[in-house]
Amino acid sequence: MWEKISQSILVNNFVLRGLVLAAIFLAIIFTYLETQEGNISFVYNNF
Amino acid sequence: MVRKIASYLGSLLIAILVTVGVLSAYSHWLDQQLALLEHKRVVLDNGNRTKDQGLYLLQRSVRQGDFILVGTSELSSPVPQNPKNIFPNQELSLPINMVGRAYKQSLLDGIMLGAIPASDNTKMAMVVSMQWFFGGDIDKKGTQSNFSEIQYYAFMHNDAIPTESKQYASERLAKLLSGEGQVGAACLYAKLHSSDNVINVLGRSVLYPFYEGKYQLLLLKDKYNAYKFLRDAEEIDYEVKNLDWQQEQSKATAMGKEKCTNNSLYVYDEYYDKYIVQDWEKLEDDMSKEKLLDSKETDDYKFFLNMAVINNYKPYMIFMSANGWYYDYRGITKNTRYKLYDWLEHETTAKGFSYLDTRAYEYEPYFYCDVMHLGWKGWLYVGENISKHFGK
Amino acid sequence: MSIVEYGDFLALYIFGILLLPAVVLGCLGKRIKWYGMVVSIPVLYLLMGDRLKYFLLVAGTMVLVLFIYYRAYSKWKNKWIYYGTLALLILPVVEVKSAELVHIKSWAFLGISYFGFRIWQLVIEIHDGHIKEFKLADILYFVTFFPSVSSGPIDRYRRFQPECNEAIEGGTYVSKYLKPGAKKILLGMIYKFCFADLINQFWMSRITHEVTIASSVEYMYAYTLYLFFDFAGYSLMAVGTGYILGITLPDNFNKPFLARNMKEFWDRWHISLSKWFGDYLFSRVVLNLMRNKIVKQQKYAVRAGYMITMFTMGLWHGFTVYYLLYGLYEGLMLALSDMYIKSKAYRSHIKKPGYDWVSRAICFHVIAFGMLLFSGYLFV
Repeated sequence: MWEKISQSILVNNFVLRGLVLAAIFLAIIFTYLETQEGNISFVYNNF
Repeated sequence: MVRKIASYLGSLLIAILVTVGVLSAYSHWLDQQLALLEHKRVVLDNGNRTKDQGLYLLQRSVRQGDFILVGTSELSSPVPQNPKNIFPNQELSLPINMVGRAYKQSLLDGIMLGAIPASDNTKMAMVVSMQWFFGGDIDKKGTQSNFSEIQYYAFMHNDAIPTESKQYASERLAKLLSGEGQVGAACLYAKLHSSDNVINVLGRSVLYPFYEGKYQLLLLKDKYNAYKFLRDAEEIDYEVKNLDWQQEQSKATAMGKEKCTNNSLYVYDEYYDKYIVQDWEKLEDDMSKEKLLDSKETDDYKFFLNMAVINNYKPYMIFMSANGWYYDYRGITKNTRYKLYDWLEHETTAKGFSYLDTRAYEYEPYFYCDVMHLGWKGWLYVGENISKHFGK
Repeated sequence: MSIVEYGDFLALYIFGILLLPAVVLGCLGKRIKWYGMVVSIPVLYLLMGDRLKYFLLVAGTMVLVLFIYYRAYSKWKNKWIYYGTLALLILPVVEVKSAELVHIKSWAFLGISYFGFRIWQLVIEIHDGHIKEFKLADILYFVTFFPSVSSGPIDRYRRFQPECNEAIEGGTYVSKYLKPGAKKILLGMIYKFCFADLINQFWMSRITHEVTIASSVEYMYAYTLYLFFDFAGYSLMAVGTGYILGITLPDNFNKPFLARNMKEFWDRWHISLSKWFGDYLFSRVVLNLMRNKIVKQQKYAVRAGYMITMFTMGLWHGFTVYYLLYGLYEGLMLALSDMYIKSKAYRSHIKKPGYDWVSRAICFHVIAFGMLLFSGYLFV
């Protein structure tokens, strides 16, 4: 079902695709604005 | 094929435009909210990271003409005469903004001054400790925890600062920010700006869009954090204390006497129990080899003075001496200490700034509350001198 | 000073710039391998940071040992050469894990644990006769392939080697590599820089470190979700980057919380790791147990195999109490799953309506408890 939706939105309309991309960028940036220093990802805790 | 590429590039372009548009609108909204909060009076403590490692709240203090007191751990001295209780007073009635924590020394303070131009009537004082000159160089971890990426970038964007100073600061940071830690991006930037060889110039151009973007994001984040702080902080009354210095001095002596009962060094009891009594024998003369004037801190201090000159600060420098009995025992003789104070005073007057010398009080009981931090009589004495200096 | 792979925006920007020529090469239908190898040099330099010298020394020596082993084994197919080489090459990772316990870092470099998997795999494949030629360039590229250097996924040489030497036609590159790769990177970014960070900032980091039943339960849920988004996000970005370089790295996660039992879970979580352990440890252990008549019935051999394999996996994470317990726990859960699936009760339950959702809910809690052990929250 997700495939169908993403296919229809993303393949056909470059404006919509641009907006979706913008939404992703903004979500990541707004998360960045909220986070404080000192939170290290697990993945990098060990060698 | 070409159509496809154009369509993808078109999407990317739209994405970038929309993102930048939304962020600009948000920044504008934050500006409006901050303007509404401009006159809210709040406590500006040291140890407030949003303030001390940011830009907006410090700029706000400069704009509003607050009294800015820069220092390190002595700002948190556990005595009632702590500056937060002495200021504002009838001689210096400006609200106080205390800035700094342990290990924030000349280099980071210099960068901070370089990042934030003073106004013509900015009143700033700074406490310098002898401990900064121990050990040859600053502690890396301490520096990293006090490091402010946004102040560093703002400093680097300040055209009034000569390239040598920027390279000096960058070279120092490249060394101090290295190793494990979360300051990788800033450390790389510092490395690239330490000198002008081919690799650095190339690296700088390639990474320029990234660091500009990051700087703008950091500015936005700083505004947002400042907004949250001002919005949520308790509004305080503006209370100007009326201090009779003489009377306060007698009170201070009495308080000190009460707290220092279990030792002959005149340090408060808990401090003696926790830090001194166990290792007392080992400490004898263990610092006799320290060469205070060989420390990198001396170059950092000169850098700091240069930044003060360039950005229009006229700092009142307070040279904190130390608990004389303790440091004599540790092997840092009066001679060594006086040489440091003389050097500091010479460099400071050469730049046209005033200072307060406290060497006469190294053996004054209750001037210090422990071996290195201003105490009951000390903070009162310093507070009185600051008030009189700026009051005239 | 080092950059954290997929961990900060600087890494993403640098990778983005460095991948542009790869995209151009791919669209033009050219082989990307040589560009990939050349660009590995600055990338590994930035990622390794201060430990670069350990990387060059230790990894270099291990590849040398591998080469010597290859020559020696082709001449004399002696099982002692095989086991000896394996032991020798396991040594650096053991050293690193022991050093972590006493808090001194010795030979460690970024991704040494995963580097181990790639090298050990090569030893085993040479022993099994699947690798006929020692192509140094390909082997180096495989063991140091930078998108997956810090935390996987773990690829297979037999799959990697022909693919990296292929020149993919431009149209295929765009539709089968570039587009899916870019999508994975974007999804990975949302998982890691959005969901994981939000869970950490607003939930996980606010849970008290004083261990009580209530706090442990809460931490269990928070950590499990956090770990998934963080690790799956990282893996997606790694796989996506691989795709853009013309390598279809295997996916590491496939909707793990839809698992109805622990066997299914390990087919959906850290897939490349469980497949590696499955192929190179589990199946050989089971075969050995049965061949040497240590265990008579296959089902017992399988369950013993689970315990041994998962315990080893726990050890591989580190030599701490909680990693060992985690390994034992996962082994036990797999063995119990196996018993359950072969039981009559299972056959009747599976016919009931709502079985999928009930089993998923129960399985999620089994998974989450394992993650709670893994996090070390109860021990540190």
